[in-house]
Amino acid sequence: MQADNDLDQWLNKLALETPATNLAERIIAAAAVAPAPMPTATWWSEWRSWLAPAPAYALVSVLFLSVLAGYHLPDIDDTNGSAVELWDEDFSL
Amino acid sequence: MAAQWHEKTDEELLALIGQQHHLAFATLVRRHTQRFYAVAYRHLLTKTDAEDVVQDAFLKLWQNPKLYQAERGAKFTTWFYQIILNACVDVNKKKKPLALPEDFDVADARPTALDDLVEKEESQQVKEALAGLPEQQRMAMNLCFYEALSNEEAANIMGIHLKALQSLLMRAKTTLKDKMQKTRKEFRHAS
Repeated sequence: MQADNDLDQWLNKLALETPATNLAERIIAAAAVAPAPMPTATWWSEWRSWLAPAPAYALVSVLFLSVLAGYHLPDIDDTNGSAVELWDEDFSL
Repeated sequence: MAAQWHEKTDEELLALIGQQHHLAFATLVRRHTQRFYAVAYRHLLTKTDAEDVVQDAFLKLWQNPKLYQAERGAKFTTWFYQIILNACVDVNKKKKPLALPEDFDVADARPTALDDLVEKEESQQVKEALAGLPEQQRMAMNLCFYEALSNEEAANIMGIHLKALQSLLMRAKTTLKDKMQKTRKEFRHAS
């Protein structure tokens, strides 16, 4: 018990070096010139974050729905002949 | 007006800091800087490092107040102890082995110069003893002895179980008692 008290007294002899010229005021001054804090979320910023990727959502939705609807690019065979035939036709004089 | 700011809780001030209230930030900083500087100093044992750690931590909080999440239920001080101690661990990692400050001034001509010197000598001995402890043990002593936090709160800050904290404290005290007795013997021999 006495040893514990001695230890406590001894540990209390650790002196703090006082912070140089008012640390708190230096921090406040540094914050004044630091970039402004990020504002916390508001209802309009929440909405904006949801709406930002809207074009991407739209494109993905259109592609997905067109696949579902069986839409595909016109088959080249539906025109007059295959691609090879068309090629041949164009250049076989 | 100033009195109103001082009446606000830390959590209320943080909500205002989220709305870029500089005065709320200033109030929080003035309220807690000395306490967190003391914690950082007792861990790092150098003034400039401790000051840098506290300044960086507060500036990060200013720039991103969302870092503190009140809904998690932790008090601001508990959460900020973690931030400060983690930053201290990072600083120590970068500058291993721990450098002890050589801050003895030459004794001046004042009548109390000898007393000052004895005080500084004792302070230096404690500082060396603390610096010799493993980081976790030093952290436990810092929070439980110097900051007088409860063991539960200290364990929570350090992210360890209560039993582990008690074990750290026990080992730290044993080491420090040995060190204290050794330095006292040396002092008796010298005088």
